[in-house]
Amino acid sequence: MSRWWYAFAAAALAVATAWVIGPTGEQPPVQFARPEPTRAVTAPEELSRYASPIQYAYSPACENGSASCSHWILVAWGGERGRLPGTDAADSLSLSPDGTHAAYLRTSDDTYVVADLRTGAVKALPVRQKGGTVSEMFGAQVPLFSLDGRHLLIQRDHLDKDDETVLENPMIVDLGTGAVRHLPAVGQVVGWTSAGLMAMTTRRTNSLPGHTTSASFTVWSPKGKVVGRFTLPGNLAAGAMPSPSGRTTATLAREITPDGVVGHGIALTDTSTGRPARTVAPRLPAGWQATSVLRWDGEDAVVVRTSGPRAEMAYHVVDLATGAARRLDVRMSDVADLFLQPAELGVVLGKVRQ
Amino acid sequence: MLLTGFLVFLLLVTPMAAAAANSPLHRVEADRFGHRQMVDITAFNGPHVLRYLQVTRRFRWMGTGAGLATGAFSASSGSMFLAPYFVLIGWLLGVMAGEIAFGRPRGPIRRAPGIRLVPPQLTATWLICAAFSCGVAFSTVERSLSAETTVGRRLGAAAALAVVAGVQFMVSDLHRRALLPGPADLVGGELATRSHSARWLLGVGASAALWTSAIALPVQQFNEVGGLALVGLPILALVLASNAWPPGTSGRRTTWLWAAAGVALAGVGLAMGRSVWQQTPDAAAPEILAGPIQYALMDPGSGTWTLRSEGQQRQEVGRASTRLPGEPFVLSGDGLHLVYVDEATRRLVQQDLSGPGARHDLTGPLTGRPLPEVVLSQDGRYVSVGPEVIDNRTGARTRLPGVGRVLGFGPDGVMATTGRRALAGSPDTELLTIGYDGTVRTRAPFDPTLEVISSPDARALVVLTEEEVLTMDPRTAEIRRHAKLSVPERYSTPKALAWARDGRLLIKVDADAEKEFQLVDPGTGEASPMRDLPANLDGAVFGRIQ
Repeated sequence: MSRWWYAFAAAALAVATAWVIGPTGEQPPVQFARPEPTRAVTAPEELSRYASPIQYAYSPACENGSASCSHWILVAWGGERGRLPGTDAADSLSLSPDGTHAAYLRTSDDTYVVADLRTGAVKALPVRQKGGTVSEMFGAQVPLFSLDGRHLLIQRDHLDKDDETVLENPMIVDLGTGAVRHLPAVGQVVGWTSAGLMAMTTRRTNSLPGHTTSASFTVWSPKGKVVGRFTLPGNLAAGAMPSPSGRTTATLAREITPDGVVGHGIALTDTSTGRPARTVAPRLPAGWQATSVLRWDGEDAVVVRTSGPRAEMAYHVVDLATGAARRLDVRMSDVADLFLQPAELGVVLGKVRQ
Repeated sequence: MLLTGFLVFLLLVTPMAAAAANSPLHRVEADRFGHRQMVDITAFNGPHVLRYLQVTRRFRWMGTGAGLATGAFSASSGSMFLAPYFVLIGWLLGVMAGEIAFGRPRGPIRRAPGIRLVPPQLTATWLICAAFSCGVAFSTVERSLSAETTVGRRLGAAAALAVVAGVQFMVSDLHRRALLPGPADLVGGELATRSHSARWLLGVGASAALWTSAIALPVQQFNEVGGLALVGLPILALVLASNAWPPGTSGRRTTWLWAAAGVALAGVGLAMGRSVWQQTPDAAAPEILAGPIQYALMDPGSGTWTLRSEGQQRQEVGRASTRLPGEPFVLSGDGLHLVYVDEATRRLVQQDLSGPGARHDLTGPLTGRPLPEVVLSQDGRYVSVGPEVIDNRTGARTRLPGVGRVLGFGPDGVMATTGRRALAGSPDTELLTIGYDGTVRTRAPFDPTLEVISSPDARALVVLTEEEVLTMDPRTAEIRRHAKLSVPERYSTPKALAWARDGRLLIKVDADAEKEFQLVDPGTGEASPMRDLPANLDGAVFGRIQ
């Protein structure tokens, strides 16, 4: 063999050796995003005090049965995070719009309680739900704070003989005095306005061309009196969310096309005329769509749940004057997303602006 | 973006390859060439050989570099199997360009000097590949004369023929060119360079011709024999091309034998190409399907629509595309007309199932999304594609102003709405009645979330609610008639599917344990189960019922 062959063989050997013992070039193993319940685990057994309002609460994505996995986790605007003792992450929770109070069914004695998250004080309400609720997923009504946080709607539930969920008549609890006001059968609870609780009943209609149903909305004051009424056609009633003044409702305008559901924006309906006033197209990132209107933030913005191009979930506050959308800092990777505990029920929003 | 990246990559790689190939040649490389070509490199032929090596190496590297860049681009675009093809084509073009750029001194002579530049085994391999490729390419040419053939297939056939012709021409030219006048060493060197060029032209050309001809056929997957030939023959050709071969005089002239073998092999290629084309449905020729059809169902496993007639006779619609979810596939109420997207042409076509396969295009090729919504009249005469109505009898096309969704066709006009079907929360649209000339006759407010179906004559709109079946006047949108829906306990609003011939409405009920089909009298709401339909017909399209 010529010396060139020897040189070639030596070079090949050197390259092979370097290749065997050198860096493999292998990428580090894929790390999946994990929730960080450990921060909550370190929280004390009793309710923590939060200096800043709660931004949101979530049902944690862990199934190891530890205390931090079985309770709702609170996330404050100041970055504090802690679990809410006495709650079951699979049950419903409500946060006041100002993010300072939480209402829930205490699992230890099946009693509704309100927790002051600034002081850590927990106040039991004179309402019990024996045996727990059937959960929001199966049609239970979540407790609802009034807009000023002074009243709480509670609607107990039970299963009938056919295992259908039956909602009992709603009651409004004065959180200052603890007085309970029982309302008559009001239909489906829609939400709170400044004037009181709004409920809706749907009926068949013959008087509205092109429609088969219409819905009557009634506003009940905390004292149990009717303080407002209006009617909307059936298509604008389902999913309608009233503004604080009750003058407008917000729904999503969505068409079914061969390519899928296409959103056209947020339809704002004037409750005095029963007609859509305008439609606001939210300026969401490309590929994102609003999937439900959750509530209003003042008279000029709504909070919507949104879905991204890969079905990822998020929350946005949409300015109704400009359509500008601000994404809320909700870490969905922390939130449980299970068959009986879907992610959309695993996040409860508190105060949505700092 | 991807194309820009490719162009940048190409602009970088090709000059880099050229720059690398422009490095000065060493005497050793000429000696190695002489050793492999079995020719002595002397002072008489040295400069000639060195210039040959310098020129051909530059173009070969440039071609291969460009081929690599194109191959990398195709691999990054998801066409991994095309990457080696582009490298090969780049290499071949480099060899050809190098040979042209080298510029041999004299023109061709009338009679070849009888020199054999390549081994007979390589000639035979080239013949097999080239003749077979030509046969395949001719089968595509033949097909294009009688049926629709895509541009890609035509391009493949043309390219295969061009490769064969180009390589054959250049190799023949190498055989026929006059030799350099000069010392024997110079003549020997010239013959060695010719042999080198001819061998690589045939070796790479055989592979390129074979692979290019494969593009000319509509074959998604090759069987074992085909796959082996597509890999084995190119490897054999390249091995033979890389083997040294001393040019010599040819023995007996056997041109007619080679020609006969070539013709025979081309015939084999032609026959194989024809058989492949025969298995491919002709985009223009009708697929023989017979109606009336009761329903059609897509098999999600095979992605094929299957038609079922009342006797449960089964026919497959091989041409209907199921590439994109939501692609139109519509049956007329009489079960005798079918509209679908043709897989080969991507056009929306309407096929008459009452006779031997009358079929016509409704649109040009559909390019992705959004997909149009298609509605057929009961007798198949009218079809709407989005807001455009086509009269199949007269060929007239009318664009309906402001229409989002066509609901039905009557003898006098069209029932439509200004928006599509919508989810709860969506504002009203308008219910329109429109003449076939596009004149809007009536407008009325309309709830787009309703589950509705137009009567076969478009004179009534039937609305299903959870409890009732309602009849709406399309001119005023007023409810003319209420009837309580007498169907089993259910979980959701029943879905209206089609009209039966006796005037009852076929609905699907999401009942206790399973889905049920019921026939409902819209006048009374009375319903009876439809027994002769299988329960599991999710996503089925219905034609003639009973």
